[in-house]
Amino acid sequence: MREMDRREAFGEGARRFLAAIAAAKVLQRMAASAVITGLTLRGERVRAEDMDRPKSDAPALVMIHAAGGWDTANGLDPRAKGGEDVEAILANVYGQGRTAGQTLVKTHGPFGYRADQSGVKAFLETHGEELAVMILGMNTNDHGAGTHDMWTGKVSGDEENFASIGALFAKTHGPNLPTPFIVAGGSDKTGSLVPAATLGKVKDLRKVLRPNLIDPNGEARFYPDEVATLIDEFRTNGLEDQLLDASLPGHMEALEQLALVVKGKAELTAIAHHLSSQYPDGADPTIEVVLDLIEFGMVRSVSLAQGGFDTHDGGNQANLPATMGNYFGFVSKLWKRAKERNLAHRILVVGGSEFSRTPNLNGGNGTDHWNGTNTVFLLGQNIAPQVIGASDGGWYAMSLDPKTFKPKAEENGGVVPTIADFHMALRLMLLIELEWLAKFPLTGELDHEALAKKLLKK
Amino acid sequence: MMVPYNSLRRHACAVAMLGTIVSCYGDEPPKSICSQATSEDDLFNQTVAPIVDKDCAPCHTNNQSPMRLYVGNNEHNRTELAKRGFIAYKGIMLPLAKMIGDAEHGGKVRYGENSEEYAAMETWLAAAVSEKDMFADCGDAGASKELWSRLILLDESATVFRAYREIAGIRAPKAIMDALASGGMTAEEAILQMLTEPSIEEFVKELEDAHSLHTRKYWFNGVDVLSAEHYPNKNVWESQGFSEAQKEEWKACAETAVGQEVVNTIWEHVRLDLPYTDLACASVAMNPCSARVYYGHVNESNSVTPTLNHVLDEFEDPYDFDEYIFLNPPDVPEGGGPLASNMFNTRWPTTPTNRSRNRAKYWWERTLNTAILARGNRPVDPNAVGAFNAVMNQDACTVCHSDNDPVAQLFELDWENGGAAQIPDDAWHADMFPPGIGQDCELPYEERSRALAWAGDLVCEDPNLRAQFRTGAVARYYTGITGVRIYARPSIEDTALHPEARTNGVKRQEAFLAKLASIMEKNDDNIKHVVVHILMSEWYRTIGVTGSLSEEEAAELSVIGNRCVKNPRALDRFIRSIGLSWTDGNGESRLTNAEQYLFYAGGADSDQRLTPLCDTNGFRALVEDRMGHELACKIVANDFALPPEERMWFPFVEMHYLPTLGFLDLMRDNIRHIHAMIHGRTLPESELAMLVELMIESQAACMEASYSGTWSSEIPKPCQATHNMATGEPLESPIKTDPLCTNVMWRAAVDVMLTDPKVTHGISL
Repeated sequence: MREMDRREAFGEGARRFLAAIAAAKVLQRMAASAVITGLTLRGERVRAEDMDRPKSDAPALVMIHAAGGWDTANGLDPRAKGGEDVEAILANVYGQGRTAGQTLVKTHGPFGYRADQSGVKAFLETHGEELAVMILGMNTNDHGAGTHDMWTGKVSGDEENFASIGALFAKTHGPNLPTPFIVAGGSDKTGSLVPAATLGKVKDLRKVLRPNLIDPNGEARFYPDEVATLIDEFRTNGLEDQLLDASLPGHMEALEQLALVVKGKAELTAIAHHLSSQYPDGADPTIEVVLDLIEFGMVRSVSLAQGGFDTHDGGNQANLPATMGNYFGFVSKLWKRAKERNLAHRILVVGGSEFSRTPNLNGGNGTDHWNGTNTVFLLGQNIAPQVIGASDGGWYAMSLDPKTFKPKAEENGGVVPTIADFHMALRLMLLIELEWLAKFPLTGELDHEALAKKLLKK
Repeated sequence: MMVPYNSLRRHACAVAMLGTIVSCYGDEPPKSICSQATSEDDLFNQTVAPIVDKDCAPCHTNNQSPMRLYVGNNEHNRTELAKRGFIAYKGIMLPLAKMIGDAEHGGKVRYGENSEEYAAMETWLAAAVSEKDMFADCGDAGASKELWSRLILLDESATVFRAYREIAGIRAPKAIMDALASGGMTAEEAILQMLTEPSIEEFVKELEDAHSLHTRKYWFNGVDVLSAEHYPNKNVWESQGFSEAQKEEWKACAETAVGQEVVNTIWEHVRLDLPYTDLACASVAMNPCSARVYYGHVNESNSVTPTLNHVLDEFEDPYDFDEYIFLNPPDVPEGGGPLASNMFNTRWPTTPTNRSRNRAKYWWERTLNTAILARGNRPVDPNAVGAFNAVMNQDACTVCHSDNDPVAQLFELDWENGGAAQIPDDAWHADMFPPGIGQDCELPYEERSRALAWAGDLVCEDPNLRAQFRTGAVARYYTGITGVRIYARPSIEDTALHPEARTNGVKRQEAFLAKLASIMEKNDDNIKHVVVHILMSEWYRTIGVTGSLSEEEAAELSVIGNRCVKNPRALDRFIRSIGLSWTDGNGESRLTNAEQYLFYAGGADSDQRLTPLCDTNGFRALVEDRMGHELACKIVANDFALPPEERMWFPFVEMHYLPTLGFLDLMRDNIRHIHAMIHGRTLPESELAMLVELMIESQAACMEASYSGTWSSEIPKPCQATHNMATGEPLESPIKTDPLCTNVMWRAAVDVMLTDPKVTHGISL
């Protein structure tokens, strides 16, 4: 499908997010042009830190991984409405039974939540209108492989460098950025498409971004600004010379990437003094920094994580309401701040985990890894609120009609949705370049175009 | 569920009467890569040519066919088909995929997978591909050999110099370089000499830890995580009547000796030139501190193992922190290798459902060079694994579990979930494959109390398993030193151009790795000889290639050359080798400390991140900028404050030398000196000219800024020289001002030389 066709196919409801994507492409071309022609701001001898860096209209994808394998089978998933499946769950052959109190589900709109998970309830009440949930089957119960699969859609070993959705999005919408894909947890699989960058201590970022300042809180500099500029120019020119001299493909590849980064890093320095130095009460510094970088178009994809979900032991399992509360509290905080900062219209949040947990409790009253189902969600202003898919009494993902996504038995043509199906729809929604779709192919049996349309508001 | 161990049905690995372990995998030594005599052409003529003539050539003679085959032209047909044998399609060789219609084929499905014709083609292709594999090392390289002969290598002197910086973390001694220059020593001898340097320890430990161990998390607090129940006297420093200073000393010694027991064990094998493959069945390295931690509670009254006194008697000096013996803790059976250690099993605890499968995954990788998860793709349909205990009953699962679970059972027998050693409970999991190495090699009942040690013995005794262990070691050191990945042969599904040419490059790499394994074996499995050959090979030394490259040639050479940035620890080592240190006020490294720039610089801590980044990025580039700024700031004034004959950086110039006053030649000499000091080779004239230009412009720009009042002639405080760097004594003539901007000028030059990709990347240029 041509890009315009794809865009039109999603209808008016997706207009704003897609418009942001289109704007990003223009910016990207401009950035590429500037790099090619050498018309960088640095070349004009403007002190990078003083550049009036325009705020960006570029879109951003924020992935929030629930590390450990989360027990959402009865949180977000409305599967056991009214307890109709409780007996089936209690009779499950895997380990000991949960108590009914731990399986009964309440609902908010189309979503379910466990009665004791007030954090999830609060999240649904606040953001349910912009939330879509999908229940699907996973193909692994290994942490590494599950994390890989969750964020790439590819069922394979965790050692494979298959491009994650974050890398595909960054490559499509911001390939010339110095930090197109930032990772602070979750998956850093780049498929060698874009460089990943890792976040250290947030408090150090201002110092990192302004290397010529001896102390980021002071004015003293290592060099006169003009000399700092000369040093940058020397590096840029030197790299170009080295690139001309390089003859090995591997060296050329590394030097090209380095040249791109060295040219682009001035833009990072330029936003340093815009970084939030004081946060609102209760703000999360990581969230604020991520939003800063998004605001100024310095990043396209961000992978974050919240842990505590590997609830093998009873203590952690008992603490699950708090763990879920922390996770959804984090997502909620990010989304609220994105709205307050007028950034939400160009951000899509994706949440998920490596797999789910066993329906019933193990000998230590904890839960173990479960590949029978998993829950993923999208949060965005153009997302149509709904739950797609369901799980059955055995806590397996139910098969769906591949076009309508209503439950349908496999013998009647129903298909169990997979993580690949989810990603294939997501890739369409995010207008990932066809070249990268071809390079990192996925296969699934649902109608992905229909699924993408269904996930977006009409 | 655990069941009595003696319900094991069979013992595929019998223990012979005299206790010699009989190989599970046959007792033939592995074949040399050059010794496999095949007659694949005969095979082709006899079994495949009739099929080709009858069923392939009639269509493939057509001009429209991408592969032309001719009836009766066996030589041509054999070559064409063999070329495509190197191309994989969905895991099988392309001609086979075409035959059965898996790959798009104008002739559609010709034969079934179980047909005789398929079997004949498969047998021949295996022979053909195997024989051609050997070309790189067996003198039949043809055009490919000519291409690789065009590589430009670092000269031997520069190679040795660079190796000293990157591997040993020190500057190559002058005596070595002189001997090399005069012909009194070969480069190989110089590198072997380098490998006796104590500073190699850091590199070896980092390399080993980064590959599958990831135990750094506990390197400095190993005792802290040990079970007090198992080792009640573990805080040995508290019970010896030590002074506070002694307590600190012993605590540090004990914490690191225990925390680093995995890498210490490996390092001791390297340091002592022991066969590296003996690691598979080694006990851990213990020094007097860790011996007291582990054996402090064992005395004559409770002894079932050596007592503390017996153990201390094994040391030449029981107070020498640097002395190590190989001995496992009292509750851990001797042998089993570094993975049968407290630190590995604490670092990788398990759960009642995982049942040590993750530990087993690492065992396969470390011990038998096998990526267990790469055995097969998991099923796409999640509900397909819904059957009870799929990991024992479904082909899609058993492809991995049948080999992994037996090893996991070995860990389950020896180690508790949380990491502590356990008394074998005489039981194993009935709903997993029985303990052993793979399905065909079960743990004998009588060995159940030393399950991992039994496996280690098997690997050490069996030539084929030992060869696999060796292959893994070779691959680890190759990647760790060159920064070049081990590549898989390309699949036709890859969009990379020229898969055949790329395959040639991959085969070259495969042949080199095989050669390294052979060298290692011939040298009593001393890993140092492998290191020498890696460092002297084109994989480490290539800086370019002569002539222009065709697309095919570029594809073939795409496998060579380090693409990655130096990981922060390697960069830190390189910087220190120049005599510098980039640290905070407390002496903590900026680059290697997770609380500072480790992550921004793309590093790993074996806890939050297990692998460093390869690609550079904006954060990394800015960290490099700051590194350059801060190091140059420290260097310039402090070096100029010394008498010229004591200066390391500026022996040829003075602070008042300006490029406009006729000192240009001396400045050039000094720049050449700095470059040679860092890289051990000559600075190209073009780079020299650029550096001089930078200095001239920087000095001028600085003066202009001074005149305009935006820059002070006072040197920024951290960049002033006020105290002797060596003694800490205040300087008689401190350097605090820079009226001519020469301090800025030289800082700029040093700055860019310290952040050149030759320093920050693994690239050789």
